[in-house]
Amino acid sequence: MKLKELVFVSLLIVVPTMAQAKPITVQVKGMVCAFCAQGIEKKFKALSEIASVNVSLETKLVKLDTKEGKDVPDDQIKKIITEAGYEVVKVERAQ
Amino acid sequence: MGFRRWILVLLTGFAAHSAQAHPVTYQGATGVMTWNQPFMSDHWITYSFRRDMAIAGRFMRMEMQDGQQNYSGLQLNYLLKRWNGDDYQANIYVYGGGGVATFDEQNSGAYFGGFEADAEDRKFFSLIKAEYMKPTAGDDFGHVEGRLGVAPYEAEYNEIASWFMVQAQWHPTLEKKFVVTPLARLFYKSFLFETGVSLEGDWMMNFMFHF
Repeated sequence: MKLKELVFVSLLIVVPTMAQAKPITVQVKGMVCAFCAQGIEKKFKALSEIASVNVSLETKLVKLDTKEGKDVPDDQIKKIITEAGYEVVKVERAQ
Repeated sequence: MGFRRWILVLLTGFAAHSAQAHPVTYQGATGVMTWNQPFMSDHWITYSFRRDMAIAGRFMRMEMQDGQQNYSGLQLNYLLKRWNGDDYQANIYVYGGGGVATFDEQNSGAYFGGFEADAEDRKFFSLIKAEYMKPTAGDDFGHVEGRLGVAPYEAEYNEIASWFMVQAQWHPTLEKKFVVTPLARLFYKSFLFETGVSLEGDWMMNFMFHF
């Protein structure tokens, strides 16, 4: 009985953690104008995996929140940023 | 690297340009742009089918020294070079195409070519543009524009951005050969609006959006 309780509690802790969305932070070069950077937001929002997009001209960062259990590979992120006219410096994922 | 820096300094220091901002936008984007003054209007619709290339339809009204001339045509816009820096972006575009020029109710074939270069950060903007239209009949149209701009504050992505600019235009075959126009630019998201009055009292109203 105790073992079952232990397994149940462990699953309660582990499963939501596995499914939790992991924020992705992309550092971008050349992003100085909001009018020009609209393509970044538009293209990421079109992805079914993306929950929200936040662009900051001050920090030159694009922050992506994915939906639960979803992810977007680095290659796809770099392709979208490049097609929008910018350069990716690095892609970081929250641990 | 030295050459690149030199080019950027040249663009930033000299720069000129017109209201034109985006001959090519992001891949898959459609842009609608219209620039209007008493002595000329210029309307573009562009579709960027690559990150560095767009096709554009264009209609122009030019008040020449001896009457109005119109031009309708198609052109290809090409992003020749882009520099993405940590705190700046600079671009060189070229474009060319052909269409129909109408003067005194007579149509003739015409071709059009030009280039545009800009450099900007969040505080300063500069641009230069030169273009030339050659009809098989009627007067040629040559046009050189330059712009310098400064932003009173560094707008964030979700804020309304404001710019104060000065635009200089030279077009020797128009009724107005040289025009200097102080103007204000506002934009929010994908919508951009500009208005100003030249030193001689000519109004200017420009609008641009992309989707």
